[in-house]
Amino acid sequence: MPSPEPSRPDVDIAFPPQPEFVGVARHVIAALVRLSDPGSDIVEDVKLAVSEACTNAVTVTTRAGSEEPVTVVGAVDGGRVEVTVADRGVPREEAGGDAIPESLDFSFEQGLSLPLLEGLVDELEISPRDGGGSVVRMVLSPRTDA
Amino acid sequence: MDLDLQTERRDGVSVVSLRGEIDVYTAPRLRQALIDLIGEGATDIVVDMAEVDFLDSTGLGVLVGGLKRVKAKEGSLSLVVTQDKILKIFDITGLSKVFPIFGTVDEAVAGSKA
Repeated sequence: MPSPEPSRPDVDIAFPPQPEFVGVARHVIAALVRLSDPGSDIVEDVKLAVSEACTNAVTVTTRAGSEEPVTVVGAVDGGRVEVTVADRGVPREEAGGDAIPESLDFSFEQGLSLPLLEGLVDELEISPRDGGGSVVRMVLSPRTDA
Repeated sequence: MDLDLQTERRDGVSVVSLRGEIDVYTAPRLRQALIDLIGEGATDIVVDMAEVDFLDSTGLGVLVGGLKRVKAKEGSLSLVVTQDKILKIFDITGLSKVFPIFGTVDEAVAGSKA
């Protein structure tokens, strides 16, 4: 029986919670968007959103003293991009005093990251992850109708 | 996925020219460069971002930190931004009202001395 679902290319990657890998994750998801929707006008927004979410994930995982990988799942469906970033981090108040220096704290709780993310995405959902950590789910839709 | 960083003096203004991507991996290098410049006595700084392909909140945070440091010495930190995708990030976060933003290095240098 033929499937009525359109093909839905996606990627599922996991990387060590290190700053070096944030750029890789951002470029992999950008490549997925370009391949799936060559005319997409939201590639730059997607790159930025992925970078913000992955930077937060790396920061909170480091703060937790964990080496658990950060996972990023991306899917494009009719130009609509959905990205989910999951970590095993801990909130600041649970991490204790000086888990990481403030100058290296790039979590959502600090600074400009969350306002920027909220300005970029159409849907943003941050929820607890089973077993600890959090899951950030973001949806971005094309700016103009094809 | 890297950041090239070059510094020169022009008419008494320190110009930091960036090329590449500014994110959580590369932003610490920009932070250190700004701290070094200010430590060496620079008070008027122009950061040329015309060749920056990517900028996120970690880079914004470093620029805000630099601005605070030069303001404490009654100096200035101006930006050269020519790409809409970069300008948009300053607009979303409201920082386009905080930094003097110019279209060319010449204008930024002239503006820094004004």
